[in-house]
Amino acid sequence: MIIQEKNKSGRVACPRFRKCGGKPLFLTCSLFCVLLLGPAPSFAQSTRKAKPKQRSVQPQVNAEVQFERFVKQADEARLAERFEDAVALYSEALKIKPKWPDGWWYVGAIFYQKDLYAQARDAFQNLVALEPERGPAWAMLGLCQFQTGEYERAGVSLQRGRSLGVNDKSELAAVVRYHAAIVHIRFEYFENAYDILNEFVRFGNETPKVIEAFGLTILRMPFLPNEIPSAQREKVLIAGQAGYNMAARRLDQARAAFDTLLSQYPNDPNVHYAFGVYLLSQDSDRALKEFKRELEISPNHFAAMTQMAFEYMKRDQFNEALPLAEKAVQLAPKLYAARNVLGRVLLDLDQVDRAIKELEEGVKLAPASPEMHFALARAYTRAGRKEEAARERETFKKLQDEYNQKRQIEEKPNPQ
Amino acid sequence: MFKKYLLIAVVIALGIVANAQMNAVRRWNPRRVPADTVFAGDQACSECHKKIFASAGNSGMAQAMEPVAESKILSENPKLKMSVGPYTYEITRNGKQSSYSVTDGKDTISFPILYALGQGRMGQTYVLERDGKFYESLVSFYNEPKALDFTIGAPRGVPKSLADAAGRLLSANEVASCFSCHSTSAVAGGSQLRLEKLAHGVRCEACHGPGGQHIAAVKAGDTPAKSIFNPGLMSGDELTQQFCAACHRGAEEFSLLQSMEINNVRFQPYRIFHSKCYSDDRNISCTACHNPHEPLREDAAYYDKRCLECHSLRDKNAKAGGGTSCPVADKDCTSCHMPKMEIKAAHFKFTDHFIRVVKPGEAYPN
Repeated sequence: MIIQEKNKSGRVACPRFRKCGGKPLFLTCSLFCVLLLGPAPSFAQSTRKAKPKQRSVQPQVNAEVQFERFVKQADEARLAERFEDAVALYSEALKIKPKWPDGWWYVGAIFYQKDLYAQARDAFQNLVALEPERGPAWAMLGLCQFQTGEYERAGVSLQRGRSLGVNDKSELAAVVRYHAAIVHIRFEYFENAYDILNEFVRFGNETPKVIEAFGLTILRMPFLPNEIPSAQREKVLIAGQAGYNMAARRLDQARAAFDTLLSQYPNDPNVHYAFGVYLLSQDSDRALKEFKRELEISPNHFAAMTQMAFEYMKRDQFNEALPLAEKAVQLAPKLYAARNVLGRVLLDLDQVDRAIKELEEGVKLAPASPEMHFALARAYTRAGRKEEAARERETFKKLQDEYNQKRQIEEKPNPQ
Repeated sequence: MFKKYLLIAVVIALGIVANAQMNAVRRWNPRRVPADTVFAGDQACSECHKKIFASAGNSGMAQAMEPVAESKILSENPKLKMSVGPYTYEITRNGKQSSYSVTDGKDTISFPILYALGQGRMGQTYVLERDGKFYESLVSFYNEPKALDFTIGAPRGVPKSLADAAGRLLSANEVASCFSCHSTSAVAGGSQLRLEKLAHGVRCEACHGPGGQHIAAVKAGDTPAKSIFNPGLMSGDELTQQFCAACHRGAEEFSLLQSMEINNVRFQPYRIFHSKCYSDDRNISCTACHNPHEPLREDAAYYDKRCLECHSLRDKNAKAGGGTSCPVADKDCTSCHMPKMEIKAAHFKFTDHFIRVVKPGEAYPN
């Protein structure tokens, strides 16, 4: 297989190097080499190599011969960069064997490379129907759906691709990570977007696009990058520098960016909130002041209310924490963090039943959040519901172990 | 018959008292001291609780911060020196005072040591102050080599400047964390420092909350237990993962932190949470094995008894808990199931509280 040839040498010469500059976002030369030179490594069990055990009927033999011929010609066309011919020939092969996964991969990749995203999407849709556990296929489907404007579906597919596994250090992973973050920003799941963007920090990927995405995230602007109003672009980029440096724990650089942001945009929404988040881990008193200032600018800023409620809870100031947490839940009933803080405050006030209700709702909203399960375990413990508490503690441990394992894999040095 | 009713009455009365305690002083957390909290001070407690007061003074927690004037470590090691690249550190004793200095040969930065954190079993780190800003000393004293070395977590290379060499600037929250866990009454209302009220080490009210009302209740003849927080009434999990973990760091905190690998062995609530036998039962909580009012017990036999509260001996007829028995031995449980793990940077072996069957050569379970 071509992919094996590539792996032997460890690298692939790219005949198209100079043609890649115009691809959207990260999609650069090397990614397309991978996509077009061979299917993802997990596709190694190609149906084209699988020989049927019994081939007694003549038409089947003819079809097999014909299939092999189409595939051979398609591969040649693809490697010669005659992509239209390649697609036509792969399509012929797929008419004979519509359950041939590699064929759909090649067709999808070529369409994607040609910016024919709807066709590419359909090809990858066929592929995931055949092999629903293939992370890279879901990832490519998500990227196509993103390009066709089906953002909600894109979010689901990209998430599925990421959870099934796209080699975290590959270029495809970076592309998928970026788009997953953008989709979360688009749907105002800024905290999730920030977590995803944090992965770029771990890999040291500080590109302008990543900075821009950080800016959108910390300013809580639900825009796609190409929708950012030109008058706001500079603000987004300054905020992005602040956000990236904050995530990278380069606190002095983050502070310098925040100082610029505050001096230039002191009355813009979310600026004080973002600065408050930055301050939380260092000076929570000052952070509270920034959140209060944010509420003066944006009275319904439920995220600021949630942060303040957490901080007041930490100080046992429940009279301040409770109304803020309740209002945050009222304004953003789908925000699990708001349910989390409300549940915790209620628990500390010994309103155990109400606390359990809020925390159960939070777990429903964020089943993969370890801290939600931990909080719910505490509440069940307080209510004497020992078995349920033990179950939640186990879920917490499981999620934590998964997270640690993922992290260990990421932190292993790249063998190349 | 009368005795039976009397016993029932006593049990009910005790239950009411316990319940009243929970209702009266709802929660207390050493790291969540409200802004207006007034502490009565240890001496006030000692008037009634003489015995506990005497033994608690020798506990590790009470010695979590040494007064510099009486510091055993600084007195016994009057001149400590260490060099890193062009920088030379010195901690010198002069009467009842100590100073910490670093020089590059041309310039010198010097601080009086005001806060010595750590009882010295492992070592001691210094919080330095200049112009209202606090710094963590870049080097600490370690007991095993009786010498200075880099503070755990500090970068171990040659510092970039003399200022960097002196220490790490602490954020307001970090300063609050240091003083909240190593002293009493010094922090309230989040990160507000009130160092004029600082009492060295973890004293009575750090864990039991302010004692003023309690003392007033005693004097007034009311039920004193109603007006003081008793951590002994918390459930096992709450005690371990919230109360003790407020300083010793628990599982939830680690869910939000980056992996620290072997360094996390220092944080016992986090480690024990991962044990198979961990539950909400108080028999597996911190105080099942450790009495915070006493110095740390070091004898394995003492801990064997704690294990056998739940586990059986190999001889099924022997008196012990009803749980599984160890196929290998009936004693020295901790030597196999809670091995000591060395953090080289700390010059110390910590007991890993992740209770487990340790397989030879296995990697440290993070």
